[in-house]
Amino acid sequence: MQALETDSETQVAVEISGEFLSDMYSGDESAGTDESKAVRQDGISVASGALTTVNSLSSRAVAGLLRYLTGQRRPPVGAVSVLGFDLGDISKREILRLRRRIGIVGGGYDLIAELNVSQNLALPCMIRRLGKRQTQMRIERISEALQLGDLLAEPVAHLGAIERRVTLIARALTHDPELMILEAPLSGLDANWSGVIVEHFKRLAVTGSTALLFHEYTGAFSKKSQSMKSQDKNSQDKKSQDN
Amino acid sequence: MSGGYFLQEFGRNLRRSPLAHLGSLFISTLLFVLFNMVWIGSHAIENFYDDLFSELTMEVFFDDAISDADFTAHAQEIQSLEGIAKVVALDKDKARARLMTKLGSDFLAGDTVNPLPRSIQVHFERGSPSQEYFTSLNQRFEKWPGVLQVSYNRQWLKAATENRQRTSYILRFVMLGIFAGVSLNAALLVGLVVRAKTGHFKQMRLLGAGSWFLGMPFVVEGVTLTALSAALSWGAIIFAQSKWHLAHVESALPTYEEMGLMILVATAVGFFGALFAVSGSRGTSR
Repeated sequence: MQALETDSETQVAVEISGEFLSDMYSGDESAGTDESKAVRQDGISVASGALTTVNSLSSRAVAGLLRYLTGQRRPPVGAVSVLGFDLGDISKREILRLRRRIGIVGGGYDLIAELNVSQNLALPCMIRRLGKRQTQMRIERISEALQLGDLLAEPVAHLGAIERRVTLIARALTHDPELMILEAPLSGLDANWSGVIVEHFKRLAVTGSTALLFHEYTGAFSKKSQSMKSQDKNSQDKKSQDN
Repeated sequence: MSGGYFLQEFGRNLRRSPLAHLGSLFISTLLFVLFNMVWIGSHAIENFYDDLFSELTMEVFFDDAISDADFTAHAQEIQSLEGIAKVVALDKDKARARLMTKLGSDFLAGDTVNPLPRSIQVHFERGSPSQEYFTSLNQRFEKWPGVLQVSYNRQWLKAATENRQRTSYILRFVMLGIFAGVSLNAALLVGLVVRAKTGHFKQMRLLGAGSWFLGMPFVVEGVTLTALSAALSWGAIIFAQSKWHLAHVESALPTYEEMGLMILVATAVGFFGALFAVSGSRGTSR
């Protein structure tokens, strides 16, 4: 696990206990790796304002964990907390409130096929009751950042797998969530789109966004997350020099 | 923003299953036409009974002990009561003449004393008479000094009142049944559309959409369906009324205000039907 802390921020956005992870992944194929053992021992803790990557869990394990993190399954009390909510002891109403504050890719999240890309991107904003103008501004901003361009008017049914994936990532970010949880964000993307997404996350790292990124492989994204780390450190150095 | 989304969702649902919506609209309209006909029929039956009851008369007979002045005073008092259309005072001679008319010959010919009592015939205004009203008048008149008998067709009035009430209950029950049918029809349509969109619902839930946000497009759908079909049903009735008239049957078409009220009630029925379907179909999955 690589936590990319921005400063001495002590608030914790996500806390998953090691005991819970050990119970959960006792039979998982990824359980034998050293990194996996470390994760199971220490649990996962995501500080506010940091981009954190977890590379040691299988996609099956991550998909299961995401269901707990999004309140689709109820963990034991005290095992998982997200943005201050103990997901073992949370009401249905609070789950919905929590979901409005986070942006997710994976864990059963999908686009709504009968809407076009722009309408899909607008959904999280509408659910948060943002105004039409504000929603439009956010769609334009994310569209520009992820270079969605002509895709906006396309019906989801006409999209290819890569375009669907990028739209899903864009939808998770449109409403400026307090926390982003993304399962293998670059999985299935070509080099061009991967570059665009990584660039965007670099920018988010600088702005102090909070994200938990899961990736099955320690290869490609890990290197990219390292580059985020260095970018992040550079910005911190710059800040300290400025001070 | 949300309002536009709800209407767009309604439009998408329409496009997704146009035949289901059209069929549902057709069934609801037919049910409302039936409702309107039952309503008009109940008005016509009420009018019929009002006419029938207003033909009923009451007759108060007096003995010879009371003076003519008191007799006249009683007639004037009855005339002043609410719901009385006309009072006819029959002195002994008129009573004899009436008996002759009824029987065809003078049975009192040769008698020096007329034994027939004086009486006051009471005629009622339309819509006033009821069994309770007749009973209260009867009790009042019987307390007067010199009253021999108060006569009216008690058995007929009792039977007719019971029939009127029974008919009224049956018609109300039928009308309520039709409304329940419309509500169920709206619920079925909404339930059908909701079941076809379970994936959509799941995604919206995951994005944090609450019950209000999810259910509102379907409520809009149910309300629109019932309001439109209620309006269409009155259109059909008014059109039919302008084309055909039934002989010997008084038209009892409700006023436009009553029609508007009925459309409002129908809208509420659609609202609750859709709400019921949405809350029942959406499920409680986390």
